Order: sequence, then structure tokens, then C-alpha cells
Amino acid sequence: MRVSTNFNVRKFYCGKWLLSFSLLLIFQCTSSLLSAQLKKVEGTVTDSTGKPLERVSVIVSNSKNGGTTNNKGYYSIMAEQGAVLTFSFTGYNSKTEVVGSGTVINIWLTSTSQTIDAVVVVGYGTQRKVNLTGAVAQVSGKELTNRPVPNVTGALQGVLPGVTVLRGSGKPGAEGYGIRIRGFSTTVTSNASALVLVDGIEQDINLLDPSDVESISVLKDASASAIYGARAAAGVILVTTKEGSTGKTRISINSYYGINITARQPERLDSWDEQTLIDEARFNATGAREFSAEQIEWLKNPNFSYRPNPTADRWEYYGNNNWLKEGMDKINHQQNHSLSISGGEQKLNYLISGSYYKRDGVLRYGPDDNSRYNFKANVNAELNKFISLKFTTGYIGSFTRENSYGTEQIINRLYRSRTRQSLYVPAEDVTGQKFNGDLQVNAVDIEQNAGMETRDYETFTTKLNFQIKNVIKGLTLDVIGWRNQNNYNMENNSRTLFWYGRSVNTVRFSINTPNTMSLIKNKAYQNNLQGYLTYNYKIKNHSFTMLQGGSYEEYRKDEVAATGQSMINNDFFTLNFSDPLTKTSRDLVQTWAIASAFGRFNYNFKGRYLLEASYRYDGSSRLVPTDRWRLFPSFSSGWRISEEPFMDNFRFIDNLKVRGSWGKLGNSDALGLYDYLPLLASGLTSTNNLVLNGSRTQYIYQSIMASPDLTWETVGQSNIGIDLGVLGNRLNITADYYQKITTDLLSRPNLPNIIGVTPGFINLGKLKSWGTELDFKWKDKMGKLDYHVGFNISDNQNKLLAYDRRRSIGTGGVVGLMEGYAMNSVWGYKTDGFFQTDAEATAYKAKVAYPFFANPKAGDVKYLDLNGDGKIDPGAGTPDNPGDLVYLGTTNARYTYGFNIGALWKGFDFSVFFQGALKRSFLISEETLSPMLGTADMPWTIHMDRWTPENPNAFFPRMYQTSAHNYRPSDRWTQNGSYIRLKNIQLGYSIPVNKKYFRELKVYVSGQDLWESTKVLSVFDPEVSNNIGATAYPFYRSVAFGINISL
Amino acid sequence: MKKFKQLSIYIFIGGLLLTGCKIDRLPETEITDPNFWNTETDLMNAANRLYQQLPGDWIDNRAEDAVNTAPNVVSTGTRSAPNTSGDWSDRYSEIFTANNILEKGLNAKVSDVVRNRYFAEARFFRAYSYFKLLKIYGDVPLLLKTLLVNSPELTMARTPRAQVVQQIYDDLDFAALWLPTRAALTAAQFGRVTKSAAWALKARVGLYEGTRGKFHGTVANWQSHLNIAVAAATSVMAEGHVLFSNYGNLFTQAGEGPTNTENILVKIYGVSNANLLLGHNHSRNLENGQLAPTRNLLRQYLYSDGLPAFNVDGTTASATRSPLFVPEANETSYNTILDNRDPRVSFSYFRAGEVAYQGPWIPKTSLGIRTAIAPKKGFSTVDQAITNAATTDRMLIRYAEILLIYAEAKYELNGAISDADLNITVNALRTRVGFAPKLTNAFVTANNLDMREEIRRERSAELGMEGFRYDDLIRWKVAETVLPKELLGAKFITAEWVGTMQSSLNLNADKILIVEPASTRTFRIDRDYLYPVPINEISLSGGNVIQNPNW
Repeated sequence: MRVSTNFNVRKFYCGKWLLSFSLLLIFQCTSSLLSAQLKKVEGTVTDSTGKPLERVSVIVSNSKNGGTTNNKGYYSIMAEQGAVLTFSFTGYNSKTEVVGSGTVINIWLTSTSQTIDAVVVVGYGTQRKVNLTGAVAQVSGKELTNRPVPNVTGALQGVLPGVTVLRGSGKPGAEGYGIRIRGFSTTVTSNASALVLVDGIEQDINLLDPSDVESISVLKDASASAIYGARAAAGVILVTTKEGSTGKTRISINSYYGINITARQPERLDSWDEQTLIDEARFNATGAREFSAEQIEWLKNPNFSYRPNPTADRWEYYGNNNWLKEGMDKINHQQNHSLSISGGEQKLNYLISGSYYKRDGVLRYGPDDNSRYNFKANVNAELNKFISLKFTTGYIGSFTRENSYGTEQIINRLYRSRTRQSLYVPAEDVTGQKFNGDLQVNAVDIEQNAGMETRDYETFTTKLNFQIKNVIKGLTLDVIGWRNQNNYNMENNSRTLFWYGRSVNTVRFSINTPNTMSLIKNKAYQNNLQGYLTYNYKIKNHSFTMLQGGSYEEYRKDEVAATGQSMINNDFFTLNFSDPLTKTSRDLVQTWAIASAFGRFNYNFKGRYLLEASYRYDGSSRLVPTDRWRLFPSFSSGWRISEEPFMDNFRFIDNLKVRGSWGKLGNSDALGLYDYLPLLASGLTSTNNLVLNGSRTQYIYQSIMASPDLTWETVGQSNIGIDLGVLGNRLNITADYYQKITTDLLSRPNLPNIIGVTPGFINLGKLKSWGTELDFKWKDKMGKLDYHVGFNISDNQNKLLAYDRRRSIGTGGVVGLMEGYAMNSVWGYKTDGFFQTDAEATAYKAKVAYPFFANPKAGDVKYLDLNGDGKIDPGAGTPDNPGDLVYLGTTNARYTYGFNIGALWKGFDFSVFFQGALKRSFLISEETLSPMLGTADMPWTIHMDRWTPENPNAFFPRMYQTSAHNYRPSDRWTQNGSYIRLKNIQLGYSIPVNKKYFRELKVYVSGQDLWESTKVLSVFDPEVSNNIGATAYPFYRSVAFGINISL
Repeated sequence: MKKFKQLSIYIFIGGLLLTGCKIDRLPETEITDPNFWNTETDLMNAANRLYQQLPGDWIDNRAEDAVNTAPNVVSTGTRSAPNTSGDWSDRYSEIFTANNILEKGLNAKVSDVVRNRYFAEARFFRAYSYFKLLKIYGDVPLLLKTLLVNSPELTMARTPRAQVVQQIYDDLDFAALWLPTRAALTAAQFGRVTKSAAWALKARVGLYEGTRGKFHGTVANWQSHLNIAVAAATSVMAEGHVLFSNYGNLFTQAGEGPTNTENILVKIYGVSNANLLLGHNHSRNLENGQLAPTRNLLRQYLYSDGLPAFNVDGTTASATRSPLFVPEANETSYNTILDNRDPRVSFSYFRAGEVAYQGPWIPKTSLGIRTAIAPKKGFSTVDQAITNAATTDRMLIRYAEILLIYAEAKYELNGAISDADLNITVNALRTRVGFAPKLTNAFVTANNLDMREEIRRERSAELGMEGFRYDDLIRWKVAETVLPKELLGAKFITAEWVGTMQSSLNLNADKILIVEPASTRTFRIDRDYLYPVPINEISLSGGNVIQNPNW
């Protein structure tokens, strides 16, 4: 597991300072003492690989004798029997030896540069990493900086084993980042994200500035996270931000400017190629082509791009307009600048930081961007010996601007509008319109003129931590209160646009008629009050830590939303000037509360045997009052084998620990707020209006069934792991195996539609999720070159052990939940290429009933009749009788991995990081694969590789409009979602400057997502979600140039 | 010990901090079910959901009378069993609403008269939904109550058709008993169902079950259904409904509202395209070819002398052909086939040169109208102005249909129909559009016509493009002969088809547009008379729901 090198550095400095201080004391105290019976003690000091260490300080306790080792690691010193020798050396753990009867003491020192002394943030405290018994992965903020990603989550991808970062699109402010820890814990996917606490405050991790982060701890197993009880089922992420420093005021500036280059997107055809495909598709479907050879020549003629339509009040266009080029920029911009100032002294220190981030999207015109402002301040004050205070306050504002028409819809049109439609109308057009919207709405006009949607989210957090200690030795009381208040403001102003034919009498298309504004405003707050006692007690070789606390948390959101139509003009949007008849308004209040008691007990014998037990007792407002409390316990233990005396013979092993844990977690966030109550919905809050007697009319209905018997979904998780550090801790390996069993699984039962209403969530079934994680790190020096190599891989699988026993795979596609299978399994037909001749197709049809299509011909996909019943069908639609459907994998990657190499040489640092996934299947939506399924949806360059007699081994079948018979879910179209990606590559140079003024001055260039290898269809990113379509906002590659300045 | 005393003080303080924290949270902006269902207003608001769920059912391309921009898989016989289908699930969602009202409404503190009024609405719509299910699936699970997630009924088998039909009749009888009459319904309540609606639906069900039973030979007592149809239609005919004077305007804004008593069941849209609350896109859909009438439909209309040229199948020549009929090879203009026809032709189709969607109609397929025959019936320029902002109400049951039900049921019951009955039904419709030749027994005999054919023909002429054709083909058991035939469109006349190249069209020897060749169309008699039950319903029923034959 990764450890913050920052911590190490600080520890080290701290240690050195303490050491010198104590040495001073020792010298002072011992100077007066006389020594007796001195003898010569000698030996060599090596590192754990046997390499001699030079200039190791050797001190004899209670004397002023001391010395250092020579270049062979040899020392000799005068000491009496029973004296204590202390060996210390920069970068290594000090070691003491008692002088015995002999005169030779050979010593090997272990390096501190690795993980041994690291401290890891855990729930309600910290622990030394060596003493951890749970599965906790930690990464330092330093490893996440200097990457041109929108937020912390983006930087986390692939870094930690067992932590899968998913992302949905390249849309600014809606990148769709999600973190899944150790696969699925629940089937309620919308609420499956981990609990994220930023300095103890529940916050959206996707809004954090990476340079604010000191460290991130991921509590993966139950023993680590059970102390968060009912909300920890999907794992817990503890983000610690930077705090004040002591000494000279420190100023850090981190700044980069980057370009984003759109990656993997569809490309448009020239209008004549497009027309060729249209005509083929049309001919195959209807027996006639749309364009004559002459008309296709017109398309190719750059001097002839339109004429008056001879029969209609329209122009007829013969241009060649690449909508994609007109409406999208391939290169866009991103920047992030942050500044932090910290300083103070031991008793009072502070840190303030602020940052600005902005990213522009792909649309060439109009709004399509996201900007973010982060501000944070904290003050730590030690009022006296007993009382200290920590005050933290923060502000995050995220501002997203989007076209009112919806970016995805614009992208869809840019991808699929017909290329022969020109961007502008002919010069002689008299309608006054500039843009041509004859065959399709004009996406570029929409970009420029359809109006804007703004989404402003601002969050204010404040936390006060009040700590009492030293009243009783070893006892600390923390009382913490925090509040996270946020405001959300959405305003959508949709302007009416019309496109005419040759005169304004002919409206070809229009959007946003009448013009509309809609507003959503809400205010939400989350309050938390908690207090806990920590008691440390040590007696001889026994150390105990006890923690006992309680917490109360409440949430309330108040929302008001309103819409108005028909503004008095197209540029002035306010409800006050909208049509009174069509105004709507609604309000919404959402609340929840949770109260908890929690505790933890740690026992440590000689640093060898570790035991831990923790619990949380939670009560949630989301459950029926008679059954809303539950206990979530956990137990774990560890054995540090490397601390056993018998291990002294295995010098190359610095650290060896085995650990095991079991615990129970709850999942209350998956519950709706008031699921146990039958609620009715008002038709006036719906967009489905009822008109009676000439006006909008109320109707009241039950849209979802109540679940009166709903109870906690619980996850029982076991974990066994091993931590190994060898060869001077240069090689560190962590391996874990875990198993999670979710019982009382919250799910909507899969009911026949005769139920007539959406079933509510009920406790149904059992999910098993299991896997292994392996993390491997090597770190060493070669001369002046420091380098490190890391590799991690996670394997996760799941299976629904029990569900509602109704098993349906339907007619293929992705099946979310089915007993006996993993979640989101893909089912489809087997295929065997294309029919190469009509005769072959006819013969096959005579043998096998072909349900999707009346007349298969040459160039159509040949689906296989696997069960030999003479027809292609899904049988009974169940896995026991799937007809000709077969299992084609799942949409969740089984393996995810990351691989990194880094080196530091003189002032240069270089790192490269690969990340990827293996064993994932997903489908592309039928209407996207099949060109002209809707006749307005044009094919792409990839479709040129379609079946024709001359191209029998094509990728796509023959063109056929308005029928998707060739694109049924099948092995042919199932995408192999495996990929490897160059996630990040960085080259930095620390400019040698006067250390008096600069602590660091570094420039770097950083590339993100620059390369990948995958078998996924070239127009989509391998990370896209299942059933991706032409509305997908493309992903991008980034190159950033940045500077880090520390003063 | 002292230490532990102090420790317990800390714990006590900590405990104090957490006491008094209540975790009860109740919804503040939603109403809970137990707090509802008290007053008449509650009942009405609950019943209003039935009207909101009522589909407009605008476009039906399942038969041979009209095509969409792409072939319809029902019409071509190329569908496969779907996993889920709105045809099934939407209906049960509507049935849930009705059953829920019927259960919870019992709690309301209102008089029986008030309660039964809204129960009657619920039962009307329950019957309406079950009839739709019945028509396409045959046997369906008959649910008369709401279910819980563990109700055993969830895996119930399909209820026999006869039992479902009987329930529909019972529901409609209850509805007819408690609903207000058309005359008693205030203008402000227009849109709510009346006795007329209940009887009208009952007549429709009776005719469907009667004729289906008769022609498929599956129901022994099919006459009883036809008797129900006659009786129910007679009841409607006593309610004072009047045919709207202008057939063309009937399908536009002019035909809306309570003053047009031809309206029996209407899905209300509104208020206007400027103040849009609920809109549709029908006029633009007509313009863009989503309901493009075929020549097969056009052939069925009579000529102005009252004589036909084709049978009601739209493809075979009638025994007697009107002298006004022009063989297709000889048609000289797009308009030839529209000349000298039943006046309803001129209300239903644009002529070449007539001002249509965007100026004068010029035959073409490039707008998306695959038949190149431009539908006029139901087209409104007001509705066309703005996409998805059309507000003409959709008539789901109109009085003309009741008259046709009466005529057909009478004829099928007895194999004969009196001139008097023809006069109050078929001939009333002809009079309304100023179509002089009347259908009489004498006329039929004199011209060697078939009375059944002529009554059925009247349905096509009167109700064409209103979504009746598919059901008619199924109940008459003629689908296997009608649906596999090729679908034809307008005639290609170079001079008139300005801007269209012949090479872009698929024409037959007579230069008639072949919209869908017979080779792409099938109807399996052993399978296609019923829809496939969605596979989801079968696989989730534990095998109790059985698929329809040969699907």
C-alpha cells in the first residue's frame, strides 16, 4: 500500500530534531557521571541487504563516548558491559543494543524511507501502518498532483488496488466520476458510491482540488470501516487536507495550463460517400435509390451546392458540410491554479488555500464549460496544556454552463446530421435567417443561439474540533461539530429558434417553442455533532487503545422549482414576463437523520500481536420507527511475524505481517428517504399534464409501492491479508483476499408487469462479491538515480446467490439482476459472419426460422441456431431455457490494474503510469451501430467498411435503412472492454535556485490519457458505459505545462 | 478507580451531547396514502389519473391501409416476441390505477352516489384497458385488485377470454348505471366519461367478440355478443348524439368540445400551441409520412355512382365495377384516382395542386410519405405550425362508429339488414357528407353487390386512418389474405412529380409506386392472429403464463 512520502519526510525531520534534542539532554545528564570497566566494542553496520553503511553514529548511553562508522561500516567504541549503544543514521531507523559479554556487535539497520513508520488515517484517528489489522490503502496527495484531471477522483484512477474509478463522459462538470471500492456491495447502483469524508466532513470528492490533499485513506474492509456502520457498506474514503505548518511562512503555488485533445470519436463522411451508403441502405430496403448518379456528381461539385427546390418552398442542398468540424473544436483548454499559505508556531498555526480550475468543452460556440473555485482555511490552536481547538472552513463553488438544448443532443446532431445540408442559407435567401435548418435542425445555430443553462453549486463547510487532553494521562476527548451547507441554482433559458424554407411561410423546423425558462433552487444542509473519547494505556508490553463516541447527523434539503413559457421576447427570461397559464411551480423537502454510538478497542502485545474490535450502533430515519436500530460489529487481528525473535535470522525481511478481519456493515444510503410510507404523487409536479376544462388539472396517483417491512441491507465482509517488506523495505508487497456477502439485499423485485406499479425496494436476496488485490512496490537508488516501480491489480467478481427466483434474460442484452449470475450480465446470440450469397441466406432461412427479418440476403448477419430447434429465438427467456442466447460476460471489469515507474535524477523527475481493465463486455446501442435506423441518422466513416460483394470480409453488414435486424445483441457486437492506457506521463525539472528563497521551483509537463490499446470500436472510449450511443460526449487526452513554486 | 470516575464523567458529558436528538423524519411535500381518500375531491383527483393515462393512439400502421416511414413489423409479419411491451405493461398500469381507486375509494366519507360515479369511471377505464389487451393477446391475467410484491396472483395464469369479456361487460354495466348522461354532463366536465361512453365501448366489445367468434369459429354463442352490441348501440342512439355537420372539420379544432355531440370519448389536448399544456404532433406526423395512406385503402372507396371497383381487401376487383373506374394503367394524373369518388375522399386526401402542408401538393416521397399519397384527414394548419404543439383533441369513440357497429351487428346476426336500419346508420353517414347514392337492399341486389362487403366498406370510408383497420382484419379473419399483399402508392406521372427522378422509385408495370412488395410481407395464420406475450411476463410467471401458439 502506498504511503505518504510527505509523512515520512516530516517524521524524519521530526525524528532528527527529537533525536538531537534528546542527545543534548543525554550529554548534559551524563557528563558528570564517571564510567568504569570500559572495553572496546566493535563491529560493522550494514543495511538489511548487507551493504556497509558509512557515517552511522554510534552513541553509548549515559556516556560521552561516541563515534561513526567508516566507509566499510566499521566502528569501534569504548563501552562498559550493560551499556546501551544507539546506532542512528539518516534515513534509517535507529537501533539500540545492550553491550553484553562479547566485544563484537554487528548491526543492520532498516530504512525509514519506506512504510515502516508511516501513519495512516483511520476512522476517528490515526494508526501506525505497521499496527493496522484492517485493509486500508493510503495515497499521499503528492502522488495525485500535477495531473491535468478535473478533480481528485480523476487522479485516483488505477492508483490503489481495489479502488475502481469509473467515468462516464468528457463533459465539463459532468465527467461522471464514481468510485467503486471492491466491486459491488449493493445492487442499488445509484447509491453505490463510497462514503467520502473530507477532514471528517461528508463532501463530494469530485469537487476537491488535488493540490489541497495531504492524503487519502481508503478503508476497504469491514474492520476498517465498520466504525462508520450503516453508511460504510460501499467503503469509506477519508481525505485529509493539508494543515498549517510551523516555522517560516510557507507559500506554495501550483499552476498548470493544459490542452485537451478530443480522442476516439466518430468521423463524418463526405456527402457523396454518405449518399452512397444512404442509397445502398435505401435500395436494399425499398428497391430504389434516393439519388441518381447525376445528383451524386452534384454533391462532388464544389461550385454547385444548392438550388431552389422545384416543388416546395425550400432550397435543395448539394453541399459537403462536415458538421463535426463546424461545431466542435478538437483542441480545448484547461487550467488549474492554486495558492496556499501556511505558517505559525506549534501552539497556533494556520493554512489558507485557494484555487481556480476551468475546463472548456468540445462545442465550438456557446456555453460548454465548468469552472471551480476552492477556498479553505484552517487554524490549529493549543489554548493551554489541556485544551486545543481546530477550526476549518471551506468554500467550493462549481459553475457549469451548458447549452439549453443539451450538449448531448447537439453532439448527436453534429455526429448525425446530413452533410449535404449546408451550414448557412444561400446568399439570395430572403427569410432573414442565417443558418440552414432545412433537413435537420442546425446544431451550430443551436450552439450559438439556443440559450444557456447554468448550474451553480456552492458549498460552505465549517468544522470546529475541540480537544481536551492531559487531564487524565492517555485520555483525550474530542468534540466535533461540522456543517456542510450548499446552494444549488439551475436556470435554463431556452430560446425559440425557427428554420424556414425559402420563405417564412414554410417552417421547416423549430426548437423551444414557445421559449421556456426553468429554475431550480435549493438549499441543503448537513449537520453533524460528534464526541469521542480516546484512551491510550500501556503496561509493560501491553498497549491498549480504547475509543468510545457518539454521533448525530441530520440533513435537510429545501427545493423550489418553477417554469414559465412564452416570454414577451426571446432574450429576456424571467418568470414575471412569462405566460401565466403555463407557469408551474413545485417544492420539495428531503430530510434524513442518523444517530450513532461507536467504539473501538485495540490491543497490541510487544508490537507483535495485534487485536482490534469495533462497533457502531446506528439508527436511521429512513427505516420504519419500530425497526430502525442496528449494531455493526467488527473484529480483526494481526501478527507481525517479523517482530518475532526467531525472525532475526531472516534479515532481508523487514516487515512481515499477516492479518485477518471480519465485520458487518450497513447500507442505509441505498434506502429512499421515506420508503416505508406509501406516498402519493401530484400530477402538478409532473411534466405529463392533464388538461380538463381548458386548464391544467390536478391528478394524484401512487407511482411506487411502499415497503413497510424494509430493513437494513447488511454486508458481512471478511478479509485476509499479508504485508511484506523485504530488502531494506525496498520491496513492499501487500496482498489481500476478501469476500463480501450482502444480505437483505435492497432491490426492486423483478415482477411481471401485471403488478401495474413500480415496486418499491424490498430486502431481497443475497449478493456475494469476492476478490483479491495485489500491490507491489519497489523503490531503490542507483547512484544518483532514485527510482521506483509499482504494480497493482485487483480481481473482483460477484454473484447473486439469491434473488427473487424469477430469472429472466428476455430477448438478450444486459440483465441487471439474476439469481446465480453476476450483476449486469450480457446475453446475446452467436453469429457466424455474414451470408455471402442470397442463395446461402435463402437456404439458411428455409432451415432456420429467422425472426428479425423477412428476407435475409447476402451481407446480413448469420445468427446461429444453437439449440437446433429450427428457429432463432430466446426460448423461454430464462437462463435454463435461453433458446439461442448465450452468456457473453458482464459489463463490470473483472480485473483492474495500474503500473507505474518513476525516477528522480539530479533535478529531473520522470514518471509514467499505465492503467487498465480486463474482462469486461458491453454493448453499443442498436441505433448507433445501425446507420439510418432512423433515416435522419447518418453513417460514419467506420461504416464504409460494410459488406458488399467486393468486400465480403467487412466489419459491418450490408447497409439497410430503418431495420436493426443485423444489430441484435450478439457476440458480433459485444465489445471487449479490456484496455491498457497510458494514464499519465510526467517529466519535471526542479530548477536549482537559492534555497534561501525557494524551497522548490519545479516546472513540468504532464500528459493524461495520451495512448491506449483496446479492441473497442474505434469511435468510443473503452471506459464508456454500457449501451453507449451517438449522444456520448467524447473523452479527451490532455497535455499540461505546469509549475510548482514553494517559498 | 479515580481515573475511571473521571472517565465516566466524560462519557456522561458525551452522552448528554447526543441525547435529545430525534431521528424521526416525515415527508413534508408528499401526501401519504392513509391521509388521502377522504373527500369527493380526493376521489376526483385520483380518478383524473385515469384520464391522464389515457393514450391518444394517434398512429396505427399495423394494417395495410397506411404506412409509416419504415415498414411496420406487425403489418409485415416480421416481428419477434419482445421482452417487454408497452402494449402489455401500460395497460396493467392503467388497470392498477382503476383497481386502486376501487379499493381505497371505499374509505372515502362520501355518499354512494358520489363514490359510485368515480368507481364507474374506474371501471370504465379498466374495461377499456382489458379490451385492448384482449384484442391483441387473447387470454390475459384478469386482475381486479392491486397486488403486493408477494401476492400469489403475480404468477397467475392467463384468464380465459370469455371470463375477461364477461368482466368487461360487468364493468361497463356498472359504469353505465352510475355515470351521468351526455346531456347531464356540464360543459366544465367535458372529457369525463358518460353513460354513452360506457354503452359505446360495450357495443364495440360486443361487435368485436361477436364477429371474431363467428368468423374464427371459436365462440359458440357469438350471437349473444352481437345482441349486446345492438342493444348497447341502441342505448347510445337514444342519448341524443348528432353527427357533426362538416366531416372535414370534424378532425380539427372546429370539431372539439361539448357542442359537437358526435364526441363520445375524447382525449383532450390543449390549451393552444401558444399556451401549451399537453400537445401532440399529428399534423406534422401526417406531413412527414407517419400515416401515409396506401392505394390499397384508396381503392376501397365507392365511386360517385355508389359502385365500387375493388373489394374491401383493396386488391381484388369487385364483381361489379363502377363505370367511373379508370384502370390504373390508364390513369393520366395523380388525381385520376381521386376523381368521381365518395366525397369523403376529398376530405381525406390532398389532390395534386391542392394547398397542403407547405403550399400545393406535389407528389413525392422525399418528405417521408412513402406512398406519395398525402393524407388530409385530421390535418390542421394551426397544429402544424409548431412541432409537438398540436392541440386538436383526439376522438377515441365517435358516434359514427356506433352507427356502423349497429349496422354490422344487425347484419351479422341475421345475415340481413333492413333498409330502415341502413337509413339510420350507413345512409345517415352518407347524407352527412352529401353522398347521394344510398345503400339499400334493392341497390345491392340490382348491382350484384354483397351487403357485408358494403357495410364493411362503409367502415373504411368513414373511419379510414383512425386506427380501426387492423382490428377489423383480425375479427373478420381476413388478415391472412389482406396483409401479405403488396402495398401500393400513387402513380408516377413525370410531369406532376416535379423534382423526383423515376430512378429513385420502385414502380410496377403500371408505374404505380410499390411501397412494400409482397415478398416482404407475410401473415402466418397459425400465429399472427394473436400478439406474442412479452417474454418477461412468461419468464417471470414461473411458467404459468403460456406463450401464444407458434410464437
